[in-house]
Amino acid sequence: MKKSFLLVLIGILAASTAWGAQITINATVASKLIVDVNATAWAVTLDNEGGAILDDTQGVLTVKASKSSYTVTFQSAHSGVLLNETESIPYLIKVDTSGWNEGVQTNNLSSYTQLTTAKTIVFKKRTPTVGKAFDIGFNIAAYTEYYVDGAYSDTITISISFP
Amino acid sequence: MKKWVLLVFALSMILKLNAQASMGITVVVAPPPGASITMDSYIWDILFANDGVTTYQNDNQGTMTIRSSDRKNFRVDFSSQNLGSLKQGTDYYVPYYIKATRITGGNIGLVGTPAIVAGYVQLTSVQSMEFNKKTRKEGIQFYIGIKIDPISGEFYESGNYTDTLTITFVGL
Repeated sequence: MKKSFLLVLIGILAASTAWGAQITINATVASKLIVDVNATAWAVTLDNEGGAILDDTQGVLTVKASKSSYTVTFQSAHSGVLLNETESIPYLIKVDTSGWNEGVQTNNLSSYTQLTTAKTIVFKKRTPTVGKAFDIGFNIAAYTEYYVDGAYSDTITISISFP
Repeated sequence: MKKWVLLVFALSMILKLNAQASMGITVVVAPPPGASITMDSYIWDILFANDGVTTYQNDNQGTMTIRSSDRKNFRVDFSSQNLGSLKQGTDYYVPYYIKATRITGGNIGLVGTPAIVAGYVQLTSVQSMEFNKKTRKEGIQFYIGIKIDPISGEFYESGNYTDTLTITFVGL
């Protein structure tokens, strides 16, 4: 009985002193997932004398991400070869993320790799708003037979996604 | 006022009759008769640019109306469920700031210049406005503003964030 009285008293006191309103604040924080390259066309001259072509800074990839988990994917239109009608030259690429190891989960392009299938770099950290820049390397291995002369090309598509 | 007295009396009688039969007690909490705090909107939807540069600021995000009824001395408290931050999941927070700007002119009995009136404040603790004058019947009004600052050069984790802002009338 005493407890009941006390509760009623508390109720009366609460009722006589406090009342208010509640507001739900919903904020949508915009998503930024951007990949960009410094040049969308690479012109490579192959002198057909057998020597390798190796350029560790052929291009620069810039990634901007407001997510803590995201994936950058590289895909070749011709499965990692340059094409001239029926003639082909295999090539390899590399993306150097060693300057930001703390932001990278896995990099399947950390060494020169042919894009026979899509290759991914999985990140685990948001970038600064200016993004993070990574060198893209390009390599054609040394050869002992001439390639048929002419113009060869391929298209690499780079995309970014989050789970 | 009479209804309120009647309600308390009825509640007391019910409890008196049943006190020994059951330990389950429901306490009805009701506002002081006629006193209220109302908003023109109870859900605020905000889009934050998240470019590391742009501030979100809306000084008129909501309009608050305070009616004190016959209370001369009262306080209005502002508190936040997440201590002044919007929250996404368990790991991500975006701090925000609140400001009250009076709309009603004349002497409304506001004591001094509380921090929440002087400028934007984060509700890491309760912020209050104290009054020493009854409001007019239709009440007094304040704009409630909200501000979210960018972190220079950084992204917030993108996604949907939420918090609950509670505004409480306290009779003194």
